[in-house]
Amino acid sequence: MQKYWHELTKGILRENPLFIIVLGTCPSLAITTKVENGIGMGFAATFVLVCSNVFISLLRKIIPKQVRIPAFIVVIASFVTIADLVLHAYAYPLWQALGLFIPLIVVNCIILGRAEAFAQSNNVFASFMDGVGMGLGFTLALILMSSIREILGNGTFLGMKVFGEGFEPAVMMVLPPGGFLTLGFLIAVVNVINKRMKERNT
Amino acid sequence: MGELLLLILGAVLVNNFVLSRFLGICPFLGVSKKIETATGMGIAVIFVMTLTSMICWILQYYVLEPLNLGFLQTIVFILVIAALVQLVEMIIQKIAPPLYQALGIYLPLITTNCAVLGVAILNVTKGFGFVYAVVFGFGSACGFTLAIVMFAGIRERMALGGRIPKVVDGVPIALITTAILSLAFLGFSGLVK
Amino acid sequence: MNETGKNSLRNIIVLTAITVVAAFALAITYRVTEEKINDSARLEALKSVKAVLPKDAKGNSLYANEPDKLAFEMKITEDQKQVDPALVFYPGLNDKGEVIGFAVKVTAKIGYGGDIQMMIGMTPKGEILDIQILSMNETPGLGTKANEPAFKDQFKGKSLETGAKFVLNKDDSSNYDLDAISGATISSRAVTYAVHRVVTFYEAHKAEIMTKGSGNTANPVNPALNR
Repeated sequence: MQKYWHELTKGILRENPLFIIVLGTCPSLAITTKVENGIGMGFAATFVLVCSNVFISLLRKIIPKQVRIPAFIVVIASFVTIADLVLHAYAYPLWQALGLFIPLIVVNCIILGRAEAFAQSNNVFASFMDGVGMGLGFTLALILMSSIREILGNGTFLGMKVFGEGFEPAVMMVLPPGGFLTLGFLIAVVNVINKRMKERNT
Repeated sequence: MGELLLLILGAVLVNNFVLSRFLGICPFLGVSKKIETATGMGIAVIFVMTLTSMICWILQYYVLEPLNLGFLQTIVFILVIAALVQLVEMIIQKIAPPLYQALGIYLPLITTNCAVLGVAILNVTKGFGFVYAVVFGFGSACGFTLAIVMFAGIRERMALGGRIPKVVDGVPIALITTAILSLAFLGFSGLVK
Repeated sequence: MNETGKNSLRNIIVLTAITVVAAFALAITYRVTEEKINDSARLEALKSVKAVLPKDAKGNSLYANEPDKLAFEMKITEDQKQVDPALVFYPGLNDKGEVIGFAVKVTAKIGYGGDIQMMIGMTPKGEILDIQILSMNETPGLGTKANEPAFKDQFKGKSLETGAKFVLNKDDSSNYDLDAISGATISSRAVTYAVHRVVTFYEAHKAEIMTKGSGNTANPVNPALNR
């Protein structure tokens, strides 16, 4: 049981897919202009990650090593398409906001990366926990990034005004340079925190 | 002809795939440490993206839509890309082994380059005709190459002389530098209507 | 068959099997969601129509029909580059079948970032009720202010009948009736020109539009589920 808890929590700080392993940067930079987009993308990516981890783990004894990458891709692409169709049907405004980056979840290196590094050599429950943990870590990272960008760049959080009338937002934060800047600083901060934690543990 | 040139200009400067659309960041951060490797990667990507634009466009309008299989777009496109990248890998291995070595793991990773799948989907969303689609694919790839080579130049210089604080060394300073580059490219907006 | 042959065959079989199963799963999901998907596009389009058509004091819509079922398209015939020549009219009728307003979908082509798709609500007299921006690629924080009340509300109540000129302060500082967004003159112009085009077109073709609007001509257009 201890092991499964470990798989779940590692994705949140120790091996955070965005800040530590630096995967999934494209959607992180593109859609984190609003916190609700960050939450939506996080959930969509987590859904795909968990489902594909589980299925690939189930099929790991059947898929031959030589064709594993195309096989993984078909599985992942299928779940991405399902997520795309479901969002299109039941959450149209979010689907519009995330746009191109929903099908791009299929090339989100986090998902293919976990399939290759974990799901194909571990049992279903561990893969499930790994997927949930990494997905959660990714979602939290997205929420953190979009909070900073939305508050500074738009003066709102989840659409609600945070500052008073006198605040003139730094529009650059919701433009591409702001995205790069925010991610760069966050990675630096997380690296420092991680190093301090490691030093304290040894 | 003029419109096609404008399309390329727009794709390279105004809506640069990396600095403006956030497509292709992973290889951008990973392969931009040396100018030669960056150029090699850029050329490989130009090849893959142009071919992808062609093949995916044909598949979309001659196979998927007539058969009402639009929902299979993601799967079909990504499989085409995976196959194309395999092809390019074999070609490079044959004709330029040192480049093959230098690119290493990043060559097969072109499959997961958001820019490639991104351009295939954008061609459809924007409703481009065949020629426009291929030119857009080519132009966007040139924009990617421009960004990655420029960045490699900056990084080489930084590695030589910059006194970078340890806190931000590595990925953070790369991203902050990219922010400044992206800010500069913002100046091109409005260049093409 | 030798070892590599058997291996290749196994590879192909497994890969094909997975792909076929995947395709099936997707086809089923598509069937389940297809109707909802078509509906959501239509509902989204109707939302903007509803927002600009006449409402009562409490904000409830006054029309009793389904505007998109009676929608029709008309083309601007003069050669001009500022606005896409195709205008789509969505008539709002009361329960007696009389036209109480039109929502007009128009695309301005001279925005800073390209096309600006708009929905303009007007009364049968040609008075502007409201404007909604459906899609635009303007600079966030500058051109995008065109969709904010501070700019949009200036158009409310204006009509050619009451002498509105639809001229921006930036275009004629001595004879204007609209304030442009500071730092976003091009975006302001694009929106203003489009509104002006629509009201002048309406003025010139009022009789024909009113006839079509009350459903007397069978010229329905299926508002495309476009983006």
